[in-house]
Amino acid sequence: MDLKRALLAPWMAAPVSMRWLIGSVTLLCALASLGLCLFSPFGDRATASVFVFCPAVGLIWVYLLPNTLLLYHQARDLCLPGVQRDVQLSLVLYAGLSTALPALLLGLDHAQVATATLVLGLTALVPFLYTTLPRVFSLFLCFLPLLLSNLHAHWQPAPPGEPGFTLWASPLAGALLLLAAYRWRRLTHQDVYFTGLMRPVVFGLNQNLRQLLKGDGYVPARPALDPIRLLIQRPSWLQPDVDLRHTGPQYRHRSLRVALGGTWLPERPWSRLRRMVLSMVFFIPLILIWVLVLHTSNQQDLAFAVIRADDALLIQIGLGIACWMVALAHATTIRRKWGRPNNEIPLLALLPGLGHGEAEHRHLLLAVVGQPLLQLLALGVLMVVLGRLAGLDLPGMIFLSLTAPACIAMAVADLLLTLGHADALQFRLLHWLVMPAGMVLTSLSISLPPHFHDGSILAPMHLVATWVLTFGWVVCLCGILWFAVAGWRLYQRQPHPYLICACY
Amino acid sequence: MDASILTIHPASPEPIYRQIVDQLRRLIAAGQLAVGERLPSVRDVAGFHAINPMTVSRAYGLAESEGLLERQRGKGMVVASGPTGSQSARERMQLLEPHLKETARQAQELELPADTVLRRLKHLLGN
Amino acid sequence: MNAVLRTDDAPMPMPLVAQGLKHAYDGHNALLNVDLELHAGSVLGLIGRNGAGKSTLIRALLGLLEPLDGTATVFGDPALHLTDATKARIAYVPQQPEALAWLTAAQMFGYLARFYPRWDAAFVERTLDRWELPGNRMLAKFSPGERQRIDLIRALASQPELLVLDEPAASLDPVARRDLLREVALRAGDAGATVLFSTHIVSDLERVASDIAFLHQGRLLLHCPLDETKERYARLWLPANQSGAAPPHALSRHRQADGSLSLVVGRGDDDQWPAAATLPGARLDALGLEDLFVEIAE
Repeated sequence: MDLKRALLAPWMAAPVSMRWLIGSVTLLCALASLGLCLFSPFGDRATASVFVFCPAVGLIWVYLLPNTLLLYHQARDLCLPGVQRDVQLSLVLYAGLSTALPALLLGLDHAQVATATLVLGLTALVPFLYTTLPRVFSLFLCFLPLLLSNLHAHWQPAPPGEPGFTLWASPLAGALLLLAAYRWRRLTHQDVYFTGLMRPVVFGLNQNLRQLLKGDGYVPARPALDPIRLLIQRPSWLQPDVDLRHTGPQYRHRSLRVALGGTWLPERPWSRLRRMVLSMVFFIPLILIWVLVLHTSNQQDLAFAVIRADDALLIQIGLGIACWMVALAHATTIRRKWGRPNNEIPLLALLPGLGHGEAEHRHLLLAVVGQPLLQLLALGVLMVVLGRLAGLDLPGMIFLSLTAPACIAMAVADLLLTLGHADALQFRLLHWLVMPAGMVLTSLSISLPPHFHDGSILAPMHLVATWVLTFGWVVCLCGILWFAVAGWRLYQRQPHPYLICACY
Repeated sequence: MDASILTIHPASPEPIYRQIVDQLRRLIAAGQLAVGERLPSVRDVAGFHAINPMTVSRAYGLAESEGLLERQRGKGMVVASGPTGSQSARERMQLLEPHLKETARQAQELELPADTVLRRLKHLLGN
Repeated sequence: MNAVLRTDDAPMPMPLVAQGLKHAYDGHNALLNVDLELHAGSVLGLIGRNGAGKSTLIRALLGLLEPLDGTATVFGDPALHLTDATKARIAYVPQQPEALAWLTAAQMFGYLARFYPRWDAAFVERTLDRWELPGNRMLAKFSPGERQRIDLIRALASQPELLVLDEPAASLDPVARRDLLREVALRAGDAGATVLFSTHIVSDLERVASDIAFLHQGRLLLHCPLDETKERYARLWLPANQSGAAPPHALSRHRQADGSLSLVVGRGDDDQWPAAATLPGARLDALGLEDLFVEIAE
């Protein structure tokens, strides 16, 4: 065993870009934490500096160390027990370095060492478990805010710094540590290849990352991202029953939907219903828990017909973010399709009967846009109904209902850029500038307006907030529109819409 | 006869159509194909050996122009009557000439004495 | 009168014509000024090393990508603007096909049958049976070799006049490969179909091709009838003391460690080998296609 090698192992296993990112964030956090500790005029500066260091710990444990698991597997396949030992040792070393060491250092400055260790320990354990537990748990995470918000009515845990904190945090940390140790052991000793929802996030870590960093989606399909692999993995009861009636040269729209597959695929009605019900089964326990918590917490306004305003808010934010994701997911699917030379795109290019020139362009665009449009409309309606149930006023409703149209515009712009073979820069701008801004606007437009009236601290600023939100939406929509127009021009310039993207 | 009587070596430097013509010439000279015997159709040969039918047609055409084969209405290609069956020993010897030359070259390269090679050849010929 | 004459005289447009095709990926040249003509009824084997630009050439020929320069026409139509009538005459099988993976084989055939006017459903049935491929299985669940055979059935069922196959034999076992070659050969013979297929398995090409085109680093080095290739080109070996007499025009030229020279030479216009072949010590070897390929591509 070599300490130096063990310390370097996680960094060597990470791609260069991630090394730089994590290294610089850790350095910044450490400096900020130290500076706060030494020079801050505030009272409880020790606790504050612990929190400042947390992002670095979180980043290290959500990426750097889970990633060594992949190294461990490779080392095992290549029969390199030395590397395997390095990986095991690095885990222990970094656990000490990221929790105990900073806690002790801060302890010199009168911080409570136990509290600091617990806070940092939890910050390390939660992301680590997120990456090592089966993927299905990360789905449940979406519902965590909802559960916590309802749980809050029952039980207000003591925040760090108060005496009650160690009482609840230490058993929790202990339990999580045991779970983490068990998962690590299982994943390192497991020969079975995990598939589907049982596949831990860590195995897809680098693939998703690569795509995220490239941002333009022109990645050749990796095994895990390969849509065909996903098709094979899908259990038979989730396979759609394709409806091939009304396809052929006379029914171009439906024919194109068959060729696009995925959510575009025309399905027999009962098959769609069956799949929806069966996939909902998954969420029934969550809904039950929610109802139960709701039932026991809010005795005064317990009526299932009317949703709690807080819950409505959380669900709406969830739906709002989902809107952006739906837009992005459809565009990404299409982009990946057009980047591959051996799938249905060349088939469509040479298929007689799909029209010529402008008509061919139009038919394809309508078919491609139709599906995300329907889904976004459904989500938009759901949001509005929830807002109505939560008793939102008119301005609130207007802000609430802006998300879905914005996402539709975004989906159209993204798809046009894709079909027009726009360069990567345009996609990066759209995905890294316009979309995050839109998501922030969605969250603000949903969370702010309900607080304009109820005497909260926001009430006096509501006019300013309204103007800021309005301005933000106008700018965001203009941005999307600009991309849509650029995409339209590029798309019109294509000799036919089924050219394989040259970037491949 | 059927298409399996021919053997094709696609990788040989000799074009396939020449391989077919040479084999036909040898088979006819040796009497393994009798006069008037029907040859497999172009399609059969092409299908059996998975080769281009045009190559087979070309070979048959060449053999026809050499007088080895003749086209008969309704029967396709048949072995031509005439001189083919009664080829002189000299003509048949000429067919063997390239192979003998090749053997001689290899024997020289291996520095084998001529009488050893001839003895062995005699043995192979059965006397 | 004039018009009538012209229609009578007008030759049938060639299945594939390319003029000055140029293409590049990320500044790296994939095609450099490729000119190619494919005559009706010929079987052209496109040969080249991995990354030589075979797939790019095929895609540019069929208008599946927009070349940086040059034009391609298919049956007289510009490749980027094919009419329905022309599309119905073409079938293309890409390398490792994965189209419509969410349909079963039968669904895929049923779907495509609606678009092709000359679809041969009986052929599909027969061939699925013969190759023991279950029609009710989802395409995604077939092995790559089976998937390729399904796509070949798909291509042949539309009774194309131009069949374009990109590495058709890559994931097929020897038996299936022979079967495929037979099918291609007989299609060309019976139906007069024109076939273009790319491969790096030279023995496949030697069986069925009537012409070969040799693509090396984006350039077309050789394009002539297959038999002629074997008869026209040979390897000339010159000992070190004669290497000064090497003919200036050679397809490839390798100097060995001992100073001797190995060249690939062709017959001249007078059908004679270069004079250097008769020098004392010089040796002229007939070349199989594979040897020729290796000599030039090295």
